[in-house]
Amino acid sequence: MISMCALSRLYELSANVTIHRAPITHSCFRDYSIGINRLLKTLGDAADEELWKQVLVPLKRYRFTHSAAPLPFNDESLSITAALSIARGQLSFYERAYPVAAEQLATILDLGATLQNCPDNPIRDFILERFPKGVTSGAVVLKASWLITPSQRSLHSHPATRTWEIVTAGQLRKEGCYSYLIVVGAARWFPEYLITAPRGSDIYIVRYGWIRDVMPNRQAFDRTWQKDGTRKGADSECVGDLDEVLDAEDLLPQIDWAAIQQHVIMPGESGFDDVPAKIAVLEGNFAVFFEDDEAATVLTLDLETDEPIERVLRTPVRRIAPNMFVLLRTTGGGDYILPLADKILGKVAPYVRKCQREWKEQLRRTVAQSSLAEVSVRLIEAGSTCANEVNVSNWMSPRNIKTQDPRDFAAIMETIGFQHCAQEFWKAMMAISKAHQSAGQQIRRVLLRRLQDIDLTILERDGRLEISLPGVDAGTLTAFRVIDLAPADRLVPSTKLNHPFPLGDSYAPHAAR
Amino acid sequence: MPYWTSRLKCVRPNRPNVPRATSRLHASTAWLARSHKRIKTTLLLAIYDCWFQKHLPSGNVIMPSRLDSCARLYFLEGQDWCPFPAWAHFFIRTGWELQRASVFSERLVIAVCLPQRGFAACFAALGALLAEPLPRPTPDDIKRHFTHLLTLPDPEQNPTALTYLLAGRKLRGSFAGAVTRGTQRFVKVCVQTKSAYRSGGLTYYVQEGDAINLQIEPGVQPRLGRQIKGRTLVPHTSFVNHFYSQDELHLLHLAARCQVLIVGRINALREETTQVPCAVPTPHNQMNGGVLNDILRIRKFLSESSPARIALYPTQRGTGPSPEDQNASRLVIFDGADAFTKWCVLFPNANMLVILDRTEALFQEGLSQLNARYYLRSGEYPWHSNIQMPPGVEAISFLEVRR
Repeated sequence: MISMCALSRLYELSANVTIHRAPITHSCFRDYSIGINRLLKTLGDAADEELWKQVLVPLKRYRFTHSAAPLPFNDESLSITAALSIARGQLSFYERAYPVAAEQLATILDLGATLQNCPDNPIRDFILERFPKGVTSGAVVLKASWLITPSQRSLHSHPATRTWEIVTAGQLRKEGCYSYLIVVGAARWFPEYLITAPRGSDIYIVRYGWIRDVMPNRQAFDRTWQKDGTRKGADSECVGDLDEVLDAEDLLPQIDWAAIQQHVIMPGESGFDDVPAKIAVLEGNFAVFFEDDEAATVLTLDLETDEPIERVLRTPVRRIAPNMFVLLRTTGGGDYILPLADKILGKVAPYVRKCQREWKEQLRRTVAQSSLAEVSVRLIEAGSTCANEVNVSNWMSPRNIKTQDPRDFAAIMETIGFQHCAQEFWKAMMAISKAHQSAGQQIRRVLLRRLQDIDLTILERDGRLEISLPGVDAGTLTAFRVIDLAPADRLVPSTKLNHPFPLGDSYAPHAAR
Repeated sequence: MPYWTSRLKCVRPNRPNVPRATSRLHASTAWLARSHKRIKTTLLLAIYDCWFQKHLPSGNVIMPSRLDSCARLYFLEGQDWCPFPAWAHFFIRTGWELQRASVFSERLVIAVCLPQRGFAACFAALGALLAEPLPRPTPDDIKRHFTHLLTLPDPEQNPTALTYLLAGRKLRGSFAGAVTRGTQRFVKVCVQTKSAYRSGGLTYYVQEGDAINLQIEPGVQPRLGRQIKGRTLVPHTSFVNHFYSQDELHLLHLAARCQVLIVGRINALREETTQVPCAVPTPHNQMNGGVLNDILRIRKFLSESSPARIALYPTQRGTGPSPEDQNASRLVIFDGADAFTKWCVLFPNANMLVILDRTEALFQEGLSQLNARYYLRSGEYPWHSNIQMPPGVEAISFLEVRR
């Protein structure tokens, strides 16, 4: 609970906050940043070609990284030396196909090489210049969690910046307040509440002067009780010639969905078991496929709820949105219920699992010999109440345990020639289903207990947190912040669902190295 | 619509027990407003208020002083008593206004945007409760209640647990049948008091006039004998005495309908209303302490048999407010954009206070829904012209047609 005094301070801050716009500059980085934009303009659609993407992705990432964090240009952990030398090696090829663009690329590569040897850190220099003696209560707000560690290293290297805390915007929703907040990058990159519900009395928005930014409107309602009660447009900040400025949005890393999907799903890796799925990019350079089905759910963590028992929720996949936290199993396979359910089943586990495998394999074989439609018809003739292509496909899936209606199960048994053991198999499937339910409840209970001991601000800051469940054989669960979800579905084998997988450098431009 | 006509449109009353005379006055005031457009609205409102106060049935006296009493509220921060901040008074005033606003075919919607929503809902609820007199049972209510008690099932076959409010104590007991003595009917109730512990209990004969002190305890199995003991009522804290007269305090113990409904965060509200010591200073520089729930009486934070004045429902869980509470509450407070976006459809008639926290995930969604509703409004409600808006608060108010 927030105390009334702390609340009073928040109300006062909202009224008395001073926002300082602090454009900074660095000539070489400016030429590099604008040079990339010029190159993109020259290339047009060709920039999406794989050949160019390989070169542009690391260059763009470097541009964003140094616009969004107080890092020296020659920071080794974020070096692009390798990418520069690869690009330089291919320069002769580009010169033949794209002579103008190749010339621009050569300039960028030269500038990149210069920056790689440049120890300048303009954002930190700004902090030092403004607060030469340090501050007792100040925080630097970063756009991306993966920039925290290198930024901490950079700020801790100087005594005057050592006291600055490094936070992400999500951490500024609580009552904690600072005297000074330094927001690194464009205001548009951050949620509006950073400005409209400030947690600092002086907020500095430190961005490079060539980034075009818009300040959020502090008035929420279209018409309010305040004296000048009509909502004004957003406070736009435009600088100089349009060719010489970059839009803040253009600097943000774009996720290459097609590349991620190609990276994960190999050609020819499809079959009857394919399901429509949505890919989600997760914090920490991971991604995961979620089944895009009305009934599909995923375990989520709600950090905003005030009721501990509501912290862990089963949320429909279709309601998953960026900035939510999903819980996925990261060691021991994707399904955390299965091992515990088997433990609950005890000695009968191998037998009932064998039954489950047998009838599903037989059904799959039957479908392979004919088709989903034909098997559906045969099932209806055998007394099934809801056989259709989608349901048959679900019943074949190893994630599905049994049919809801025993009549559908009996029809399947008859169709696949297992009628003699239909009763026995149904009992086995019922046992599995019950075990799964109680395993799910047990895990939830343990998880809720465990969450009470965990400092969730770490999760808020880093966007990722491993949670081990003592006494439960469920492997390690990891809470991930969802960065973004793919706009479209694609078919993926059901075995790929809910398994987080690492993304390569070239697929997620925002990725930490 | 000019300011003063819209103001008139909002004037009072659908209040119970004063229907005909009030509507006559309303009609004549409206006529006056139409005929004499130059007459200042404030004057008309003053006349109206005087008349309204005068003609309220005895007992249902609204005490404007209650709102003033809030000005002397303190809360405990660490070891120190601090006066309530300006923003707290703003919410108390907002709740007060929402509860008093009564229009014939429209409902009032007030929405506020805050940097953090802590305490906003409970202060608004406090203001709303102080704006209304404690519901006093009418003779009809008492008669209906007594008739209901008489028709309780045979105690031998299906015993019913009752509580009997007697001389400042709430006694637990059970229904022991109905009897007639002469021309009067009585409800028999067996109770176990400490004094009667050795002798095995007491039987009271309760007549119609006293029946309101008997309350059925739903879902409780009566067990007379050694286990049952009377419970001395927790006396009202002197903090509560500051707001209510001695006569009204009695009404707090009688079953009452919920006057306000809150949809929001249970845990946060529990802490805010039951764990923060509040107080009013006495003339002798002492502090009359208590907690906000002493006045608010939120159902979730009271024992089942205690009469509540506020119904509280969680935003995320369950099927939402019960139909009885939906219909009974004249004011609904949505504590958060999630509560508003999820449950507002259930309340087509009640006045609404929507509390939006700028840091909430669903803030933008709540905001755009409110902005859209503002454009479809049926009228303005600029009562805020006399209110000083605390820093950091943004608000909007409008009228909507009741459905």
